[in-house]
Amino acid sequence: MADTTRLSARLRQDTADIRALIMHPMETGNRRDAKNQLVALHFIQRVQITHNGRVVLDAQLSQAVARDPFVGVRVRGAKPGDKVTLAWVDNRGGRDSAEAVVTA
Amino acid sequence: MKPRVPFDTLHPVDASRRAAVRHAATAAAALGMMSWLPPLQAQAPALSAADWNKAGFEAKTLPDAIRQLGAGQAASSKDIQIDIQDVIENGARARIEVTSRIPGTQSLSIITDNNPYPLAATFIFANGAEPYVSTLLKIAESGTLRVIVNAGGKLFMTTRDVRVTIGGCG
Repeated sequence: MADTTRLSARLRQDTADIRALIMHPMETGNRRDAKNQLVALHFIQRVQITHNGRVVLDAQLSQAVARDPFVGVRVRGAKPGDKVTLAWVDNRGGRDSAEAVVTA
Repeated sequence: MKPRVPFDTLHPVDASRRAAVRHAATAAAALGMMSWLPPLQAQAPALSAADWNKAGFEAKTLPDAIRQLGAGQAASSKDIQIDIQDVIENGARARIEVTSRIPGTQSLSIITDNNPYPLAATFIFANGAEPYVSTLLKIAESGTLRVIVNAGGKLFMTTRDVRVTIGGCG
């Protein structure tokens, strides 16, 4: 689990600054590989971030999001030790998830 | 608790009922140990792509993308802040931050007018999330970016022109 995703949550006053970096090719379907074959569309469609078990972000992405997508959000009312999770799913059913703890 | 006998060698061959019952009980225990439960995903169903806004993301023209967001009547707003460089060196990886100061912001969508598919992403906020997002986009060529905010069912929009040195969608 979490092989693809780096998740961190840093507290600034009472707001958790949550940052996620997901390793994923986010292929547009327009790129050609070394053999000049088109590389098929392959991108993350949904990302969901929770804080203490409640969904704080529901993101719908497309192939227009950069390769190795980065997503940053901010959640108010956070405290050190709060649990943050992230899950993603792509257009081929690929998925992964990660967890982090809010740190001061 | 390991079964005393490996499951595949369990045969209720013993004539006596006691032995048969003991075998059956051990078999049941072994079955419980060996049955493959699908790994539980915390307590929530696995994230599904079923809710993905296919019509919106597959719209090829700007008017179609805006229509799919219901944003044809979006009011122009100065309270949506788009932080992005005026000149983007690498269109394949353009850093953008969006902050909405519109009260009751529930979601925001980012559109790149000149991309092959204009709608780039939609972010829905809840449970204390600020109406803010930071991400990296592919921008095909110089042109207009727009952000559409949904606040309590009302739609607002702001635009920003950017120049792209090396296009990012290829």
